[in-house]
Amino acid sequence: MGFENPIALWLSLALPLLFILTLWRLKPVRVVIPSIYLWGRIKDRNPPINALQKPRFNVLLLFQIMVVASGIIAIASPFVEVSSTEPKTVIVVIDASASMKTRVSTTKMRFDMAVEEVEKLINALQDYDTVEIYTSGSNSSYFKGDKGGAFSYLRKISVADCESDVVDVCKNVVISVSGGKNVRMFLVSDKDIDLGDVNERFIRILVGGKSDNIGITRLSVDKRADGLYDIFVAIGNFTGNEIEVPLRIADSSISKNVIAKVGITTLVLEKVDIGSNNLIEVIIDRNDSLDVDNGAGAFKLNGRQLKVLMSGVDNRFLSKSFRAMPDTDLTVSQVPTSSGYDIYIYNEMLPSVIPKGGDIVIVNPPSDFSSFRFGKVLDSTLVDEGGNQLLRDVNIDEVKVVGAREISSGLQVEDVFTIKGKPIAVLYADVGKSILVLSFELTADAVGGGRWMYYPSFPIFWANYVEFIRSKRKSWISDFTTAKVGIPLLLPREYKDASIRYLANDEKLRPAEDTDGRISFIPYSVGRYQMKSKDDKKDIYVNLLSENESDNNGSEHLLPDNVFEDLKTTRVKKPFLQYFAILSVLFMIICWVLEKRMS
Amino acid sequence: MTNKIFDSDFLRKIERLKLFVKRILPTVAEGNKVSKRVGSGIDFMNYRGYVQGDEIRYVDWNVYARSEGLFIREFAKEDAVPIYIILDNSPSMDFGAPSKFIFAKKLSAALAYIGLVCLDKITICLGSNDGFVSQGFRGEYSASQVFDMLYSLEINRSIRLEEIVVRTRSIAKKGGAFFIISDFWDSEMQKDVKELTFNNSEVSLIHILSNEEVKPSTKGKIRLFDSEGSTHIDRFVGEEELIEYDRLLKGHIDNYKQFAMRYNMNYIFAPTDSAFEEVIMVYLREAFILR
Repeated sequence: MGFENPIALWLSLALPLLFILTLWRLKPVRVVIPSIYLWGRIKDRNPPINALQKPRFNVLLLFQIMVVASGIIAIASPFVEVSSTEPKTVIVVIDASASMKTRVSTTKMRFDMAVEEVEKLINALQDYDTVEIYTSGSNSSYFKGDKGGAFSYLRKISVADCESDVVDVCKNVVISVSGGKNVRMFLVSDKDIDLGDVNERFIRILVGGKSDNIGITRLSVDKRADGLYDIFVAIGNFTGNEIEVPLRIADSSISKNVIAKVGITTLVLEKVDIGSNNLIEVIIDRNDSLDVDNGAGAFKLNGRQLKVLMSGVDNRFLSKSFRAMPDTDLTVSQVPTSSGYDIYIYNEMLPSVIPKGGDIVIVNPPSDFSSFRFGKVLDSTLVDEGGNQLLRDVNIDEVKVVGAREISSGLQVEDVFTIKGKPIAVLYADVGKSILVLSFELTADAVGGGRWMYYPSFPIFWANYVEFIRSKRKSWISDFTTAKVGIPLLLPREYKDASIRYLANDEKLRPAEDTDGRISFIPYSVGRYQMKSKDDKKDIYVNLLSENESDNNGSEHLLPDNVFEDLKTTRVKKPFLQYFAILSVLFMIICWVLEKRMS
Repeated sequence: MTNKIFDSDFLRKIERLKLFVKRILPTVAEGNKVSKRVGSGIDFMNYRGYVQGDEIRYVDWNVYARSEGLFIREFAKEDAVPIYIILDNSPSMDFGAPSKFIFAKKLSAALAYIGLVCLDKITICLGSNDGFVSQGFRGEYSASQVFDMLYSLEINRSIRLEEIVVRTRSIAKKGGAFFIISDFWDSEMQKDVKELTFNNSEVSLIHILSNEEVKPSTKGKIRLFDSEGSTHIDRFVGEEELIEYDRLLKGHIDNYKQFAMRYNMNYIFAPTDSAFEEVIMVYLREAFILR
């Protein structure tokens, strides 16, 4: 204990003085009486007078002394020093991804353990500390407040049914608190995630224990030339023991027992005949604590063939290359139709309307490959080796259709594609509003008249050309594909207005179109979706969860001891003079009452 | 009659009383009290309604002109016994709770009123800062003047009681009935008091003391100051001293009783803690001062 004003304690010298004063014999009391006649006749005994009386116990004096003593102590301002920490901010990122659903007991999930650990952490805080809680996952949310509010918030959060990117959340947290004082950041997860450059900023609280989880981490389907399929499956075994698991393909007779080694086991199911099914579902028949990864599916969105129209003269090399592409239906016609096809090749003959966007239109494929440029959107500031200006981001509206006849007979105003006045061949590709421009000039032969279509002499050129085509027809591929939670699933344009229903809760969803004109859908939950377009209905099977969602570090959780130890502690003075002031007043009241009674 | 000393109920009670004068003074024709018969004196006393047999010459025609009623003027007899009320208003009287002085004023007022109602001539003698003062009153109508005078009376520090007694003696040449109301702390005044008994005059001593004087309570070392002087004495007051004081006080009171008895004076001891009405209705009557 100490005193703010210790000099006031010198006033306590008044206490013995007070005591002595009460012993001091006072002067005679002055009394006026009508007549001293009688008193004058009484003999004055004149007893011995001492300056000091004999001390006697005086309860009034006792309380008077206590009044003075309490008042002196109150003036001296006593205090005690207590330890205190400066206000701090505690930020907790809680991994709310699906793997946190793994059960650690019959009644508790990893997520429950995570919440308990966070509650312990918050409980150790002072009332003046700030708490921020972030949860990752499709149910991500944020809280900032005091510890009381944090407890209420923790009771409301829940774990999602998908994977979540904890790394992004942690990095954003670091950015938002950079420069903050007395900040402690915690990551609560069942995975020891590498957070990259912010790795050292987070104190890990790992929850989870030994799990019995085995699940499918990857699935891909490859169509063979014979029309059958090879199915590639990766199985993750996180139990710590090699286990035999039954594997089967739904709606088929295909099943086998697979030895799942500890870690990832890959296997191939070869030559699988799935008939006309649009969905391949691979299932591990096993009960474990994380069942969302016990099944995976690959689905086919678009089962039709690529339709190619070649109008005009049949370019044998080009037609041969297209015919070599699987699922491609090539039509050679003398009628320059402008709809109903995915790829249009106009040789010499042009329709009145050139299809725009979403399809590939090849007009006057060059005969001279050397002036043909593959590529994406080209830059107008760039010039190729031949000095040709490479165009970029050309809007379709800038294209003017010029009459084909003028091409054949020379430059004409109509039916010839020109871009910025330069007649070129235009290749539209499905990259949205930007035009994939293959920039080349019409050769002098093409411009100068006569037949402007030449058959190139290098089939390799056409093979590359077709390969380029193939690479751009992603959305038409009738292969099986798998979808992952949180990853955009690109859809063909015909599904732009499709309706999608999540079968688990009948939630209605829609695809979205991004700024590049791409149609996509992002599933946020594991399970089955049904997509309906105008004349098509498809099932989408959404799988996990990245590989490490099933991972289990196998370690027990621990809140590191003394995480706040290095925070600066201070000793604060806690005054308590008010108690002595109250005592002093109380004793004064008692003295007043005693005086009244004594008088 | 409204006054600040007594209420009307008390006045109605004491109206029936009379000052009792035992002595037969030579100047008194009837030998007892002042007669209430109308005399030929020049002192107007009061009006009364005309009854058959009254002398017409005593009708007040001015009153008749105003009121159309016949009223007879009454005059006091010349041979009535004068009453002198000597009130001690020295500083020693200004003491006690209730105050001795106020008690004495009330006694004086009561005695004066009783006398005035009986058509006695009352002279009140006291001291003021200008010296001796005496003022005479007669008739019931002058009672309010008496009350006013006594109500506003203050303590005087210029003249002592024995001098008031001496001066009263000098104006009361034919004698009379003397009522002395005092605390009688000065025994030297006895020789002046006894001079009042000349001409067979009647003297009544009304001895007033406060409760604090009868039973003092202050103890310890005390410096006692005399209220009428600058002298003081220091005494240690303990139980022994209080007992001694009590004894001396009783002796002092006895001394005055004996003195009164020796000179045929009436004496009553009236401590101020007595009920005032009791003093009037009982004590004074027991002492044959009133009847």
